[in-house]
Amino acid sequence: MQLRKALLGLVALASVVSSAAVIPRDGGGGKLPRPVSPKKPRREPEDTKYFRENTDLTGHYDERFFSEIVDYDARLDTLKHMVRAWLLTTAKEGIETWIAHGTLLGWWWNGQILPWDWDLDVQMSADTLTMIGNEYNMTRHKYVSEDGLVEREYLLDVNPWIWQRVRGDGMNVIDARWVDVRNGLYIDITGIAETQPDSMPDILNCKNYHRYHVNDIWPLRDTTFEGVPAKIPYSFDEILITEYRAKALVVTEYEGHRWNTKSKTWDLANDVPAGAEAEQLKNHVREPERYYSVESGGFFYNVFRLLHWW
Amino acid sequence: MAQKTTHGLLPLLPPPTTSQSPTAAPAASRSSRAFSKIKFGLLAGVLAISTFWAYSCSVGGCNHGEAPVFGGDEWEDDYAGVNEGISGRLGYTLVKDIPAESIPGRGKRGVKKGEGDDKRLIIVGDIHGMFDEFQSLLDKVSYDSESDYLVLAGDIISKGPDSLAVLDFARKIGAHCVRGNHEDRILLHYHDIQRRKRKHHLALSVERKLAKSLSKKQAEWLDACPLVVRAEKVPGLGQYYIVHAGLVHGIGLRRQDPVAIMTMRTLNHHLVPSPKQNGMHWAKYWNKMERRETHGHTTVVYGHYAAEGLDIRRYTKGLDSGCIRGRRLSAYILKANKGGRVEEDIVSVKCREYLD
Repeated sequence: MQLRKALLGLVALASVVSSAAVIPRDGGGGKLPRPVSPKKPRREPEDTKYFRENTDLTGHYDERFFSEIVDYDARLDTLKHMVRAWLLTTAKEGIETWIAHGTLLGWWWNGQILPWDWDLDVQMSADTLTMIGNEYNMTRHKYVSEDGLVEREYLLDVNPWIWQRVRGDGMNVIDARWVDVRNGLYIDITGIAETQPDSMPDILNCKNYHRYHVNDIWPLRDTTFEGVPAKIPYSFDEILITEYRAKALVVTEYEGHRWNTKSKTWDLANDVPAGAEAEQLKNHVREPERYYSVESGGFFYNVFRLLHWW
Repeated sequence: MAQKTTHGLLPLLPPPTTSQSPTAAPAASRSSRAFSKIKFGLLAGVLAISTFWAYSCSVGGCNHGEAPVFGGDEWEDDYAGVNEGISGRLGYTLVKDIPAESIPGRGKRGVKKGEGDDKRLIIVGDIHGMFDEFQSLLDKVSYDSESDYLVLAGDIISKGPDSLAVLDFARKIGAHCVRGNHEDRILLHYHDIQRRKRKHHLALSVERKLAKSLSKKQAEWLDACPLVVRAEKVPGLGQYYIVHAGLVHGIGLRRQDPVAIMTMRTLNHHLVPSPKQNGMHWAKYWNKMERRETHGHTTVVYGHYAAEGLDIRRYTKGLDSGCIRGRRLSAYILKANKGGRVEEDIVSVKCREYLD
């Protein structure tokens, strides 16, 4: 935001300078006026962005409901109840929706959210999206958890730009949001549509250049996610491999978490690098820790082995 | 001990004679002393080894000869792509066993030499609603529902002309089935239609129409088809799995991706299966790994891979010989012969050209 303000200030300054028509040949001033004229008409689409995130912080909170950054446990708790609420509400209202991207990967591993995920992704067809835009926009939904201990409220907010089925300026790739009004965390809802029925029939696109064949999505599969009924695309494994590579179905250490083969959960692990550190180590092959922790058998056993096998 | 014996031996030795060369005597005694040192060292070595042996036996239970076993269940646990529970989460029946009395060569009294066995296991590949061909194939193998155990290896319906006729006929003659990718799609549509009427995509209308035409009984029969039919202890041949598309070697059934069981063709280098054809044929990997095993072999009978055609290898039997495209419909038969051995046979019939 600050950057944008500074840029606008510079632009304004530059236009003043150029209108004065006194452009000094030397110095940096000569460079400034030129970007001004193409910049001006572009300023308008910049404002078409509908959903605004707190980019200064993490980009994972809806600006309108943001109060403070939540901690690890609070975030997981928020996301779990949020996705349950979404799935239960859509099932009740007869809205066809399915889980996608990182959330689908979480389903693949154990039917739960990946604990390092910040936002959840669901998809629906563009027709359904238009329908909820007309009938459910800005509706608030109350949710009570199964055990009755948790009560939450969610806002279903549909982007008025949903008629625009192409990426455009990239400002409205998210079509709708299911926002937890307590802290601004949200589920991203995107619609997929046949954008070029003539040249590419049966190929569906979302605005973020994800492409699917109709038969990869439908017929949807019935399953459960976070303990509530959910739907997933027909060819979920192929979609996952296309989006995340086959490695995502194999790697057991990621973003500070390790896959626990016994409990089938991703557990926090301090020794697994996360964030910037992980980025740095990305190109190095990390030996899994457990091979070092194999018991050596003690001194005598090793002497015995030496003599015996020798 | 060693010292005592040398002391005892000393008086037995002849007394050193005074020789003309006085330097010879000390040289001889020096060499005998070196010899006893070597002897002592050897003895100490043997003692040390046997002590270690006894110690390790008492600690480790004397079974060190057996090499540590990496593999089997342990390896399954360590395989990263553990998606245990996916088949449960998707509501699939994973495996059904063929009763022992229906497995050829496993009759109550066993198979005696010179008698044979009237039990046969017949597996038919992708029928795809080709009713006439299915019937003529059964005629050709002279199918008898009393003694034969018939398994249809998936893709019984869809694409072809008479899906429902094949379905009814299979139910009437008591055939068994495994779930193929086409059954899967049709059943998913069927349950969706049962739940509510939804506006649907044009491209799906063919499948949707077939799903709509299914009766409740037909759908129930299809829904009961497991992903895997298993025949255990086929005499001389080991275990048999019947699936629609394939299995990844070294991963237990529970951990196999259920959708991949119905769709896979190849594996990538992480052993992740794919329905595409740009990797290693899963059957090639299966045979490679199975050949390394010394006992307890598992053979997989499957369909789905029409591009490969009839693909009979030692431990995998690919049966989709492309009937729907005018090639052949094939059956794989296991039968106990007169010698008491179970033998395999392949019978196929020509198909009319339906697609392409």
